[in-house]
Amino acid sequence: MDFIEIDSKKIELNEDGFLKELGEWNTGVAEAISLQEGIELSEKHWIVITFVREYYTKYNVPPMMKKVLKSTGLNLKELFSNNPVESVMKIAGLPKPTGCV
Amino acid sequence: MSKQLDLQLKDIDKKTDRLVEIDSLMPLSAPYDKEGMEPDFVKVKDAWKEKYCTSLDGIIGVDTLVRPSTPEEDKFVHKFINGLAKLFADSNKNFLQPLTLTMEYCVKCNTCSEACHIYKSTNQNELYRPIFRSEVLRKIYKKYFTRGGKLLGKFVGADIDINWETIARLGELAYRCNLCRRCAQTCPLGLDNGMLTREIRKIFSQELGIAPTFLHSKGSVRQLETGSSTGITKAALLDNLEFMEEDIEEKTGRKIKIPIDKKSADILLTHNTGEFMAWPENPAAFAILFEEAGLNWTLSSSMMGYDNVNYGIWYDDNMAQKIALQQFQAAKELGVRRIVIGECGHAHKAAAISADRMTYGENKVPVESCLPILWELVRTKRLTFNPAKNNFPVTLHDPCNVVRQMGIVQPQRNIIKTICPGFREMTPHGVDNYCCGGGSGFAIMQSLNFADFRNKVSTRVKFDQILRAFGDDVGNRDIVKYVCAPCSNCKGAIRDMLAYYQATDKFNIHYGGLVELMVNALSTIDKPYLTFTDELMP
Ligand code: SF4
Ligand code: SF4
Repeated sequence: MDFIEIDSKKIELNEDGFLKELGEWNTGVAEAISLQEGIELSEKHWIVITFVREYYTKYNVPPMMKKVLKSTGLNLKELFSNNPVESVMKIAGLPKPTGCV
Repeated sequence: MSKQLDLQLKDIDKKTDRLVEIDSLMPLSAPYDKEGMEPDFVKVKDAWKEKYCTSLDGIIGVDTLVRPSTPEEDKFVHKFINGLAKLFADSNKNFLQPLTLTMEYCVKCNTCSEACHIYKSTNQNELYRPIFRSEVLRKIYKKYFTRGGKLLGKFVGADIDINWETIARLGELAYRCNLCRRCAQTCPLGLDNGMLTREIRKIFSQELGIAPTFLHSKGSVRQLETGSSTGITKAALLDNLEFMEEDIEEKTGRKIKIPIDKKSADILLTHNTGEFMAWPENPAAFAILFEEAGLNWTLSSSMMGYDNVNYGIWYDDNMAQKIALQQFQAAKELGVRRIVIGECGHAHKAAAISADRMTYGENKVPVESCLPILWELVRTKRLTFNPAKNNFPVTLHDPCNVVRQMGIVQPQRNIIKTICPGFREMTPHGVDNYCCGGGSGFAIMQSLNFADFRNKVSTRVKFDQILRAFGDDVGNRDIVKYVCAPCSNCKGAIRDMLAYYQATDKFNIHYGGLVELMVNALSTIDKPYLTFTDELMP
């Protein structure tokens, strides 16, 4: 089982690198996961993370990427690797997208 | 571990870490004919070996097929055998006859092997020969259910040891087939190894409660709970529609109100909800075309009315039926005249064919494909086009469920030929097409290392077809190339394939649906609808 360690507390990730318990997310967790992804979080990243998390809290499902893009006006590929959809969800502590997406 | 050409049927029960290696892959056409153009398989982690069944080919398709404790192993085998018996009972009504024929009449002529893209893409790996899987099932069946098998064992070909490993390997092997039924189409006896594969998946799901997470618990079950396998609820759907309306106005200058829950409409249009999340320009293009043609149509926002997927048809009869009947119910309540399926192949088959046998009379609502309707709008000039706007090479992928399974071959071609001067067919195409490699759930199975199998093996032949269709144009980065795939699942598989081989970045190959091409060429809209810029960059 993979995990990240913050202040000597182990936080479990599932085999695909997503948080096992979504409730364990906090900004420190986001920092730790992003380092694993090879990303250093900047203010711009946080705009995206906050947007995605707020949307998720409201609708229980992640927003369409097009909407993230339009609402934040940020270059997701540049910020979050070549597979931004997965990276954003991972770092924001949301589940892996499911269905034909 | 055997070399892939040396593998024998009797090895299926062998005590070994890995039955076979995928040690050879079909060479790809230019410019992918050089070394170093594709990533290697990711290494199987030791922790995976302990937990899952990696002893087939090192790939894990079924992430819920986990090793039980030793005392549980016998129970597992027992349940499987019980389930196998049920397949041959009258209650398996729709499948009993073709299954029995396939089990009993195969003459091992191997015509079907030649037809299979998975067998082809691995340079004839024995494990993926379509009848390898069927033969394993036959051996098990003979051993338990025939007098000869019980008494004489190997003389009648019932000579394998049946333990957890044997059955688990068969379970994994059931997810190395796209259920595309290209093999069934060529069998001189009409036998169907694809259907037989699905029957194996059925035993696992219905008797053992084992199916890939993304198909079952985060697929069908989520759909029945939230309305969609993506988890999109009514509120999220309405939010997405509002976003699409704004986007349409920005792109085309048109103010369109997407009709929703309109009682007694002629057409209830249903989409694969994945479209709203990943390709909103597709449902938006439908709205633009249907409004321009003045059709009396609507979308539904009721619980089972907006997501037309039905993953059950890939692995579980009970799930398939539950979903299909509730989808009919949603259409009934709205009082529409017919359901029209958008660009989703398996939803076509599920609603128009599979569900057709699940209920009768009053409970049914007529189901149609969007493709003939769209062609009718083009043919009668209710929509008019300026084909010069689609001035780039286009090829067409034939979704198996729409084309081979339902015989809808010409409408999409007629449309493309009318609106795309640069159209060229793949070879082969039509009912002889090869699967995109994402069929039967592969496109959405994203756990562990399964994407490797999809990207390197199951989509390989399709990727090669795409390269060959574009020929010399592939190498010319300045030319935009478009693979038209009118199916959400196929699009998912093609998207991942193009990303895996970096074909968009390196060679400017794009993909999308059919309606987007139509809107792009509409003579009544000035701005291009397709921009070919990266959708994830501003
Ligand atoms: S083509 Fe038909 S008869 Fe021949 S090996 Fe395949 S399933 Fe058997
Ligand atoms: S159904 Fe398709 S993938 Fe499966 S064995 Fe037949 S040809 Fe191969």
